[in-house]
Amino acid sequence: MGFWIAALTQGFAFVALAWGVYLSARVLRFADITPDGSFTFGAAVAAALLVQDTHPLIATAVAVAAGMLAGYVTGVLHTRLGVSDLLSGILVMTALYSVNLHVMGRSNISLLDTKTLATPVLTLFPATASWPDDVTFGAIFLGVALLLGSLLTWYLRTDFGIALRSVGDNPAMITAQGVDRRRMIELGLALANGLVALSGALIAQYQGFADVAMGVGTLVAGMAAVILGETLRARGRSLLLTILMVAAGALVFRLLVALALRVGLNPIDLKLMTAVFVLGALALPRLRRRAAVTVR
Amino acid sequence: MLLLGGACGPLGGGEHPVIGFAQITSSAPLDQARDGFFQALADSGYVRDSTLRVIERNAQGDIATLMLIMNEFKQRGVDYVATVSSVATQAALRVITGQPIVFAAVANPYLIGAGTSATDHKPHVTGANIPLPVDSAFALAREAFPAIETWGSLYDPADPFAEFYLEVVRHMADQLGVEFIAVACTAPGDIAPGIQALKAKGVGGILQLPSVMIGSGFPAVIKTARQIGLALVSANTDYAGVPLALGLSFYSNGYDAGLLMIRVIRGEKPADLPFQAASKRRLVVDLDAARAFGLSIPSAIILRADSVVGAR
Repeated sequence: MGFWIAALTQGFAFVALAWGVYLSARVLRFADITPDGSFTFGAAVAAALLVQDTHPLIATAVAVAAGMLAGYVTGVLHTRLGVSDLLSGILVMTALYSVNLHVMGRSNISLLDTKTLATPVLTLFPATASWPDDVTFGAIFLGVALLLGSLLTWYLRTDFGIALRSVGDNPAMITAQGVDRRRMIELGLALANGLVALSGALIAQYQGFADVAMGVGTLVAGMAAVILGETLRARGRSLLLTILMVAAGALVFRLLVALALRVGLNPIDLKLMTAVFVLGALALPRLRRRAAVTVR
Repeated sequence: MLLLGGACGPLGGGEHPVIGFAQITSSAPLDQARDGFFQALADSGYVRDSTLRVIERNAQGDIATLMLIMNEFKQRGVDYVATVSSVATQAALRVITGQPIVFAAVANPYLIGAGTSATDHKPHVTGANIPLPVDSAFALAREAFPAIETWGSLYDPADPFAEFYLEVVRHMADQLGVEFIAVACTAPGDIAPGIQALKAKGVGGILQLPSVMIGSGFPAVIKTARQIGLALVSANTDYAGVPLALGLSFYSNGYDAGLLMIRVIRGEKPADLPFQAASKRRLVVDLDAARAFGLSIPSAIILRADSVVGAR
């Protein structure tokens, strides 16, 4: 059971990443590659602050702000300098590699004996001391995800949020309405990468170290979560359902990685198995629908 | 359900020991350490799938997956955990608290929080670290090729110990009175251009700093250096085609870790087993490679070499 709890805990931490990628890829319809750098940026900033004995909440908040800055820069490169969306993200992601090394001072920071978000929870709720680490972190990450999900749903329903959604859906209309589209893209990307950086900060605290290479494949994992979520959503179109299903996509993706591990084939087949399981999860609903039509 | 709960249920505590073995990725140095580890076990009668059960996992470069791997080991109740590489060891330190951990292919276990000295370390952890002697290799390089005043290396900033080795080499360069230039290399595709860049900066010889990523692409280092006429010296003796190497072998390091694992299996406590820094340095001269590079190795070095490859 502990193994699956660990997979779920990781999944809860990756929910913020999935929402970040959802915001840029689906809401803004912006091909943003920044997450491969901003995920590590969040981890690096949080780790660098935590080893300085900064309060974990503050360290995590600063990490989110750092990610927002990275996303904002990507937006500015695109909107003010006319760099294509893809290249803007590539440039910022590439630059962040060096920035992350500067922030950490080396390529890897151990957080084994430093305070993390679990520390204040243990102080506030001493009963949690008997919980396994994975359960404590899982509960924290679930709490963060619930809070963020509520805020995100509320925010995207405000006038400002509706304008943000229109940037991707109907850019001509919002320009005609007098909304500054460029500003909305910058803010949207800042928000998206702030979420991604939060995910990085949470994961670093959970795994006990930050590493400059930990962002490799982040965007792919985030996109997989978004697409899985959209598949799970099926025909429902409500905003709340979409946000919930993207979160579920993040959980399902981590569970599928865990499943690929547990199948226990040749170690070098791990990624192949992961790909097969994700493909299965994506294809099954369609195959089932096709089978139902054929039967009728 | 059989797959998840039955066939993959708890394994440890049986007749034969069960080892959970994890590495972060496949690369030449790490694979050599793994092979050495299992060879040591086999030489002592612990043969995989016969008298030893091994759950081998490779995170294929994904650090988050390492955490899941460690949780899998924990849940399946393996008797022992073995790790290859620093990041895999860090993940084990974070998750595994009950079972003994034995590590290999870690340059500096103190930087990753495994302990503060070889004897003062986390009680359930021991292992064989491999501090490659880049300083001695540099002194050898200077002795072999005294005309070269500027040495250089590719430098992988993502490697956990890149800074550590770079500092050692820069200090040594000051002592030897030569210049040392490092060029960043963040992907295997950067190796050949990086070596070219070193040549353009006036470097006459390469003393390659250790790195898992560059180690995987070492044939590109050899090929490019040979093509453009740069001397090449290594502190890792596992690479074929290097004219001159003074250092340690990841295979031997893995073998040492395997010997430690055997002691743990036979009842010794990891707390009582000091970290073993690999120290059996070997001087390897490859005369065929030297000829291909257009280099001449001084006979004094050939005479004291532990191994000479190729016809004299």
